[in-house]
Amino acid sequence: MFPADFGYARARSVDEAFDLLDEAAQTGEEAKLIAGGQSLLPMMKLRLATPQVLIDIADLKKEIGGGGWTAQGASFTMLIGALTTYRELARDRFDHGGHQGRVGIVPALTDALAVLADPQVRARGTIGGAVAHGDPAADLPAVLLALNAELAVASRVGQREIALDDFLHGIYTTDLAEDEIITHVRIQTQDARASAYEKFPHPASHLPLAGVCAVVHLRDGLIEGAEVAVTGISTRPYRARETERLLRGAPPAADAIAAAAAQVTTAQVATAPVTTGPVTGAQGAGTGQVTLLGDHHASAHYRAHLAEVLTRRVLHRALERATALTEGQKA
Amino acid sequence: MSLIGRPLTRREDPPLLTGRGQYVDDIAPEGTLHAFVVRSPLAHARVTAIDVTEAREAPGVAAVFTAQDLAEQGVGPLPGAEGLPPGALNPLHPVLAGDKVLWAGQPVVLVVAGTPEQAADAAELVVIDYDDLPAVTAALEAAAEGAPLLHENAPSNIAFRKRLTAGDASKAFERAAHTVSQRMTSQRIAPVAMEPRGVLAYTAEDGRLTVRLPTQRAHGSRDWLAKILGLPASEIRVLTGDVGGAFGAKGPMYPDQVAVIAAARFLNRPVKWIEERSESFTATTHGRDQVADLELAADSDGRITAMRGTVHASMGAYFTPNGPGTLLGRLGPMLPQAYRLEHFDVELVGVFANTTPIGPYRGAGRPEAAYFTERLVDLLAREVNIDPAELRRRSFIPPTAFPYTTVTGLTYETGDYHAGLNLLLEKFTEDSPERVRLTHQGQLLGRGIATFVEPGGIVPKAPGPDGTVGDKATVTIDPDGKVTVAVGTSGHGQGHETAFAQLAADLLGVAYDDVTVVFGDTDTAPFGYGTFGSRSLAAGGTAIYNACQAALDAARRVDAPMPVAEAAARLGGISASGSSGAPPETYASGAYGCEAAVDPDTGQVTLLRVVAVDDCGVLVNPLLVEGQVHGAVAQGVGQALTEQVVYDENGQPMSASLMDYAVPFAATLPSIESYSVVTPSTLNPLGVKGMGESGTIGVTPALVNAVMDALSRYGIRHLDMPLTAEKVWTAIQQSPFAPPPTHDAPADSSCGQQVDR
Repeated sequence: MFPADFGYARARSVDEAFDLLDEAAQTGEEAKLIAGGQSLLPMMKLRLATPQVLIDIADLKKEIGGGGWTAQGASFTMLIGALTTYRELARDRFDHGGHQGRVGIVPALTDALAVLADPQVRARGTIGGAVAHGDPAADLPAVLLALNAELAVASRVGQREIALDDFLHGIYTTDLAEDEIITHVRIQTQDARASAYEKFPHPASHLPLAGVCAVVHLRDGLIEGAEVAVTGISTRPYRARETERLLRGAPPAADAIAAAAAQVTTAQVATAPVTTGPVTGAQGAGTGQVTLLGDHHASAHYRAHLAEVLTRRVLHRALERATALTEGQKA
Repeated sequence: MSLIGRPLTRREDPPLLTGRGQYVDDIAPEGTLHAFVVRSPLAHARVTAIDVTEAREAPGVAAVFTAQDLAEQGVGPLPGAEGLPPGALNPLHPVLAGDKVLWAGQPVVLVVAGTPEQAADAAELVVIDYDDLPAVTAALEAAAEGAPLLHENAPSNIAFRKRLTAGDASKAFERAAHTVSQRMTSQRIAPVAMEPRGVLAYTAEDGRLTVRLPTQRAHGSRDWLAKILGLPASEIRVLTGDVGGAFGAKGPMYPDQVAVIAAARFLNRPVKWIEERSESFTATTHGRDQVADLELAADSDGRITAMRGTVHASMGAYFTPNGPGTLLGRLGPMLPQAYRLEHFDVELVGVFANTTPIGPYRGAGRPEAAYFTERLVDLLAREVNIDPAELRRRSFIPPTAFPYTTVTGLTYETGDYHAGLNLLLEKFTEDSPERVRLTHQGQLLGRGIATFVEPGGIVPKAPGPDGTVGDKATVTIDPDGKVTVAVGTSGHGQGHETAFAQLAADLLGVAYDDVTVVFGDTDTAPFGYGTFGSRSLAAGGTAIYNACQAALDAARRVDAPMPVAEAAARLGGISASGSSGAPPETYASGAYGCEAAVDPDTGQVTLLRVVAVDDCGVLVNPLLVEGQVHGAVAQGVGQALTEQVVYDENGQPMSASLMDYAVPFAATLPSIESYSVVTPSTLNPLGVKGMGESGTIGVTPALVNAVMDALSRYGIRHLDMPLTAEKVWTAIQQSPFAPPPTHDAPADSSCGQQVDR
């Protein structure tokens, strides 16, 4: 486990990190940003990644770490610094502006942070790294995707915002340019939304063979809306739009959930009109399937099946939580 | 108070747990060079050219060695296997591959440089041209006609055949009221010790070749090395240091280690090589890899009368010294297990294939034999429609029949298989709350048992350097009463220091803390065959017993009776030695029960409960016994559920990292409930039997039997290990009795995680 030769520079500010990126670009060296190193270093040790220079941004916590919550009525915005570790996020070490801790308001995050990797990785791995790596089988991107997360990305020329859904391209590929740094992840959520994350872990790596996150909101006893994101089975974590479409306006009943879950690998939303009554069977099926990954650990067919089972389960769990929320509000 | 039988905690743990262990990688004499092994990326190919010019000129490189370089130094090849039947192939195993490579991972070139990084960088500059040849990795395919041939001038890949027969099996099958037959595999698995292999070799100040080698056999390695290098054994010293797990895989001398040692001699510098984890998956021997086609015959009461069939075993690309012995000496003869059957006809076929060589792995033939037989016995119970425990009882060797010679000619000295099974059934109750909860959730519950017999304590027939057969021990009592026990069998995680100190202190009547145990150095420890096959306590312990008796005899020569320490003070010290002699093997036994849940929607198997009943004769330290059960159970569970070495159609390893190869995690194992039945061995003065392997032997069939019980409602008879979720789910899908898909509305909503608000 000896990585190939590489240079190493430790940035003292985001500005200096840009300088170092510029320098590498000018000398034609392949540069990689490193923060927690929990994904990059193992690849380098196996010589699957051979960057010529590592630019360490771990010291930039003041600028792109931390984060905080802001509340506006029933709506909350959570800004997570890219250097926030999984553990910091799980322990909710944020500025709450006088409010109590709010990570618990998104139980899917708590679910994922409890089953993601191991305690050592959670202590060092960062949120920014989790999305920048572009791993098709990472847990957290599925949760962030279901929460409609947006990324703040900075470069010498300025800032841009991009939805995570647009940022993720494919296996280890993202929209991040060579001169850019992810600075923050932004999540907006509302009090009335309930969420859950479930994974079926690979027996060796414990990465998800399939992982599904669901965010649901109930209104007048019906599912007003749902966001469902899937990881581990395709070339990138994706939103199951057809499943979401079938859930809109459906009752929170086993049949409707099963029918929606059956479409979790459907690639595009069907153009059929949204049904409001109970959905049965595979009506309104979309066109084609998402690209499925398969290997000797689990075939593509089996991964797709797991995604369907997990979608049912995670929807049931999220709906249980939503019901508890509604009852809590009544009381 | 007697020390034998007390659950003392391991005295070796404090240094190991606080980072004060001395493993081979912790040692670096000044000027140590580092080696990197260039391995074949192909499973089967002709080597047409090797160019090391650029590598030799790379920064920090001291030397680069090829097969030709080693030949010029007169190094190698490795000896083949021992104890082969007539007509067997026995190809010589080259240290570095010459004109042909036979598995992906075979060593081809050794690069030695100033740092490990320099050696790894230079290794990338070695250019080897290969002509790819078709590869074959599965035993049955390799044995078939027309398979690609591995070894030059061999008529086929069949390494050897041996048929074990007794009675008249074909007549017994004709007369049988019931028969069952099944093809079963015990899949190829990797040992995965915490410490990978390694070696450090240098010339010591006394001018002798000194080798730090994490090995199970210090003396054996020295003697093998002497042969391979053409040196007298007295010119070589082997030190094991601390060894971080071995499980059989650190028994033999490996080609990569020999190359490193040869490099150290050639360069006259210390050279070290530490195996990388992913390298370990292709370079360190694998275990198991057998396919059995076996049948059982029984009378109308379900009493087993006969067994017949064939077992094909892969040997990998080359023999390791004990590779064939796993099949010939263990698997085949142990197939009758705890049963009184009279007719037997089983052919054992060893086969070469383009894979990592097979070596002994925890159990080495014992788990495979128990797995095949105990699966068949469960199938028979289903066929005859008798409770599996009752069916076993009807065929058990009764406690009054010992010593009992089996149909395969082994003599079990003592045992009480009914007592073990009865204790298991008493403890293996059906009232766990987990069981109720999971049944409520729609999971399928299954229970399975397995019984087994485990040989241990083997003393090889080859005499040691003094011309006698046996493991040796010396006991030295200083005038101040401090005792040093030196013994030829060394520990690598089992707790030898603790058990041997307990034994000597008890026998000599001295304080436990006054006893120091030394082993693992061919200069200071007396001769021993090594630590394998659950032999250390029966053989090494007996040697210590005899040495202690000799010390007590010497103490008795003082005119008045007195404690041995006082006698030592009077005599100016006492020194005595003892030998195990060559007693026959002991036969431990056990009865294991497993409870498992299957999620019908995903096929996921969850192990809920393991109850282990072991009879290893007298227990010197029950805590160490339990530790052995826990570790072996974990490894047995790994084989049953998740572990498998996988090759693609070209012989490329697909499971060569811990991201791909699934060993069990502590968090996924239930608490293991361990109980004991004691029938002392009559073959050694301590009454002890082997103990190191029982968990892998008992839990594997018990767990598979439990899962098959859970799946019986689908008409599923047998699935091969590992019982991965996809395999189980697919079998359920293909079953004509498969239920309609469920909708996962949880019957018990309280089972979900608490909402954290």
